[in-house]
Amino acid sequence: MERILKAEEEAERILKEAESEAEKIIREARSRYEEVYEKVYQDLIRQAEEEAKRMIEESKAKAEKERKAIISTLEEELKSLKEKYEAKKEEALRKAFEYFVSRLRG
Amino acid sequence: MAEKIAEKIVNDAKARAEAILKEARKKAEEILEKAKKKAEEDSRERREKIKMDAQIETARILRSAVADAKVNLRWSIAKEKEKYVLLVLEDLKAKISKDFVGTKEYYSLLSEMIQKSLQVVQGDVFIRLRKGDRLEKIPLPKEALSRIKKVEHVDALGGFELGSLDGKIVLDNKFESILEREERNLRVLLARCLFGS
Repeated sequence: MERILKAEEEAERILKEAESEAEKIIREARSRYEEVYEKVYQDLIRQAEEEAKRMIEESKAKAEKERKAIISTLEEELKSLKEKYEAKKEEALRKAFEYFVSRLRG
Repeated sequence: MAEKIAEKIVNDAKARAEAILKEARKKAEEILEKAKKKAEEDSRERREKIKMDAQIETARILRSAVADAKVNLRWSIAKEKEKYVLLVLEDLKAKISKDFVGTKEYYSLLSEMIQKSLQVVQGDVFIRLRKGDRLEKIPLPKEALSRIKKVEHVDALGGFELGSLDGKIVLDNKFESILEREERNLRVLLARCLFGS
């Protein structure tokens, strides 16, 4: 009988300890609520800002690439214009002269 | 027998204690999970604004850079075409001076032009010729010559000015003036001929 009474005391102690520990766990979780909230909030904002920064950097790189492509097109176009001028300048001069003389004749 | 009962009492207590702790940990996890979810919800609007601002900025960067480059491209091409057109216009003046002025065809044309001008200006007239031109070189009929009472000379590429003696009417047929009047048409003609545009 004595052994059973002791066991019951032991059981009661175990349960009390467990309840106390359980309360402590929940109390700690409640006390960490704000800290976790703030950390997660700031982490998400930082991630969004980093993503935005990355998007903008990528667009700058893309814009630069397109700008270079347009410059390349320009260089080719200018070269082509010079070739056309060289090939046609005599004909153009002749036509301009003919036009001028025709205007003199009225 | 009592020993077994005592052992069972303790073991049951341990099992229950474990269950209490497990429940407490679960609840703690739920509390922290709730904090995370609330942070996600509360930050959503701000995160979406950051993303939207970035999308707008991205589009602006691309549009602006590409548009600027295209404008520069068009401007540079137009400027280059203009340069070549002007070169031919300069060549035209040189050709007129070198290959045309002073030729038989030149004087013949001057004659035609002077006679047309005399139809516009009534009575006696003055004429200003290019330095180097002489009235005698121009094959004009006597009636025309008789109306020209005064001959002067001016710096000119070619052509002449002809006007009434009182100076009220003056026709400017100097080649520079004709070229200036015809420049717009000449530019169009040259651009078409050189570049097909």
